[in-house]
Amino acid sequence: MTPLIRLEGVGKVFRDGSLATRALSDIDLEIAPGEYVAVAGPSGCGKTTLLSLLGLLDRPSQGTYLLHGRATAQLSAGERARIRNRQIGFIFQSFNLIGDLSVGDNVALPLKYGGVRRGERRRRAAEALDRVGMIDRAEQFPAQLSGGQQQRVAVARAIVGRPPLLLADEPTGNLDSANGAAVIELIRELHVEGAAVVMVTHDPRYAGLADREIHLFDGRIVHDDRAPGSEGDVAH
Amino acid sequence: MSRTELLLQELRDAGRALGRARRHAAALALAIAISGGIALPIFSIRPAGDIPPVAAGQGQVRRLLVGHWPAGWGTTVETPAQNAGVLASRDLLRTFAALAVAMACATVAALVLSSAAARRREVALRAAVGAGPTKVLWETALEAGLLGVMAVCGLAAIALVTGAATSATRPELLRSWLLLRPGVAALAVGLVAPTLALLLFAPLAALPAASWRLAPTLAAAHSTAPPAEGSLRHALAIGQLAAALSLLIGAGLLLRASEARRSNDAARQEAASPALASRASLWEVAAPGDAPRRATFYGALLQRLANLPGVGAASVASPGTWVGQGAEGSLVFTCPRCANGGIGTPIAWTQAQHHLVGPGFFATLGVAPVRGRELSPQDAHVAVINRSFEAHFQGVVDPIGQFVRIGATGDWYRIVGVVADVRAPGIGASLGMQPAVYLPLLEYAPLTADVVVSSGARPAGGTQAAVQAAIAEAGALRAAPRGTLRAGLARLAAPLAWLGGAMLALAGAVLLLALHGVSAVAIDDVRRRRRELAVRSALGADPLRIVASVLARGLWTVLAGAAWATEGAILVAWLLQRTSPAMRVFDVRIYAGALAIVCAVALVASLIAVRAALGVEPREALAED
Ligand SMILES: Nc1ncnc2c1ncn2[C@@H]1O[C@H](COP(=O)(O)OP(=O)(O)OP(=O)(O)O)[C@@H](O)[C@H]1O
Ligand SMILES: [Mg+2]
Repeated sequence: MTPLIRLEGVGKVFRDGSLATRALSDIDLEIAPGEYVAVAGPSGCGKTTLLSLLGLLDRPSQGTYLLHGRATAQLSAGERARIRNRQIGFIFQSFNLIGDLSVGDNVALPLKYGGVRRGERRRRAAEALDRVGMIDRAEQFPAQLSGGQQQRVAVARAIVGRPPLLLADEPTGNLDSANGAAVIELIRELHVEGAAVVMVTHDPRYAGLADREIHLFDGRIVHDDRAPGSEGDVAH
Repeated sequence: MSRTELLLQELRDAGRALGRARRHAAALALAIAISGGIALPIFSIRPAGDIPPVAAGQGQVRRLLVGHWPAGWGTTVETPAQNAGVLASRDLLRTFAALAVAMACATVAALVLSSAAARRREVALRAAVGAGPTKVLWETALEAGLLGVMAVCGLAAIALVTGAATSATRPELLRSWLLLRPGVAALAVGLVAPTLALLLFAPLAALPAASWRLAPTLAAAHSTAPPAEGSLRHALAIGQLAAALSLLIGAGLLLRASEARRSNDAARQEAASPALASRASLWEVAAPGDAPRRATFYGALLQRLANLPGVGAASVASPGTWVGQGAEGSLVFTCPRCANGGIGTPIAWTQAQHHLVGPGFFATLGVAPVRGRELSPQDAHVAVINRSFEAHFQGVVDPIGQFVRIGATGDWYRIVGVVADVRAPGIGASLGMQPAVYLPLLEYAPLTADVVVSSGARPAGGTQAAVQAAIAEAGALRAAPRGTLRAGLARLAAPLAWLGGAMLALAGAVLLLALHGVSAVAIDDVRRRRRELAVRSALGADPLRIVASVLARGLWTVLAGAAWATEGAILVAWLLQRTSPAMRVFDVRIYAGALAIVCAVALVASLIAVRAALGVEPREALAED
């Protein structure tokens, strides 16, 4: 089976004038379709950077990134946008909702760019909001919601297009344990429905729910439940 | 879904997006409308074909002088208030309108920059959920297009109003020669700003979507403009303040000059009041060579006028003499003890205006001789000079009794008197120290002359009719009434006041733009520091300190603007002096007044920002993100 994601010798260096920060080095990683991966590591070790690369929000400084066996380096901005729209759902560490749009419009945004017609958009956004328990807030604006509620809206936006790959950057970082557990449960449901999930988390309880745990330290993978290349049975 | 349905939906979305950013969009549309609305009518001002010669024909005067006068008289006739003045007025107006348009364009640029900055994060987020660069470009282009339509409607409305106002208030002197017909240049200038805005608005906002690096923009806590952009906007606001200040100073100087001119002329008008002028043309009755016949005509006319009931004094002069307009040429004069570059020479040379005046001309105008006497009916080969000419005798020689000669060869004329300078009050006239020499009109009777009558206490209307009748009886076929001197002077002075008013209106428009620019920069500043201000006030900072910090930045902007405005004011003063040489361009009161107005505007702008700063709710600002 072709891996969903394949990183070969990927590194990322941030240059700020003469100052260069090496955020990731020599990352080799394969993730199979439908796999549930937890990424852990101390603050500043490169977890967000890794997720940005996987989500096509940034490009690696070295190495190659194959998505569905296809190299991403040569993709045009338009093609990348289409892939982000159809195949990737992103849950940001800071929720990143558009303050000027209502909750419903925020959730429907990926569908709009996917060319879904208006009525259908409404229906599916309502469905996603219903799943996260926010259906009664569809007409409100993000600033009127609590942190946990905003995060749930962000989850709804990520799942509304039913992407095969869900990237979540500390989705529970800003939430209390009840809200956190609810969000994790949602993500697990999506995984059960067949989506691959890559989730950054500090919480060992949530990391334990994943099929596989990866530890980053100083921009390198220091622990991987499954060495790259080996086929594993994906537990559902 | 059909294509039109899709387009309609996208248009609706664009409309909603504009609605969300309505303050921004409105300011942008207004700036575009103002610049186009100013540029279109003002750049449409054109002379209607050739400037026609004045009633009795300057061309005829020129032919007369060349054909009849002694050798060496080679001159051209300049009637500045009638041609140079009109063109100068137009150019002045265009220069200042261009300044106002430039400021409006700066506003457009600043707004486009700030809207692009404000949307950077939102656009990055749209890109993150799947909007490609083409999509974002299309969305922003639709918004820009909608905005453009709004702006063009506003532009047309403003252009109609400014055009109507310009043509309704135009002084009579400018009315006959200027038309408001938009040409290619006007359309180009008027439409440059909207086009620029449309071109800039769309791609700038779409930039993040086309970039690989969405992650840093999304990770940033707030949508903040890079510091360079902030400085650029700050610089633009400073430029707007400087331009407004320069325009205000220019308007003040013009209005003051027209006021001063009015009071200067008041003395002349009072003395001569109510004096009447008519222009008589003998072109049809006496050919160029028939000078003796014309001299007889003028002699008989003066007799007739003196005998008219109610006429105090009457005289004639070459056209325009009463406002200091006339032929100009080189002039040689004797001056036994004059020093020329350190070398004593018995004769000297100067450029001077030449006029022909009948006996009693200066008395009729109310201009008394400063020294000596004015011309009498028997005079031949004598001359009167003015104060400016007298200055050429360097205070060492009494000009009375000295001789002048027109050109390098020709006859000498003995100087018998010195009179005060007579100046035209209009813009474009040579208002400076213009040496002038007056020769006897009865000796060289011209084809065209201005008849000047002082009617004492009688009503002007009746006298005017009597004068017309007298001119006709004396044998002139054509006589054009010129009205009272007061009206004539006011007519010539009107463009100056009008230009001052137009400039004041332009300054007002730029001030409005500056008000917006400064407050937008200050509000942006507050917005950038929203979190910081919230943290400070959560920690118990005194609101007064927040107010002080915002005001301090506003003050800084004004000071920088004032520093730049000195350059602008020097440019404006230089332009004005070119147009109207005698204008006083260094007037502390006007400079201080303009600065006070601009300071007040900047204060208001800063107060708007202060309100925004005090409105920062710690709970809300800290809860964001
Ligand atoms: N835009 C950037 N410019 C420069 N350096 C950056 C940038 N983004 C991240 N870094 C650096 O890269 C390294 C990894 O950052 P990253 O955000 O991936 O860490 P993280 O593991 O997500 O940390 P945390 O758990 O605190 O979120 C850090 O040293 C950080 O300073
Ligand atoms: Mg992180």
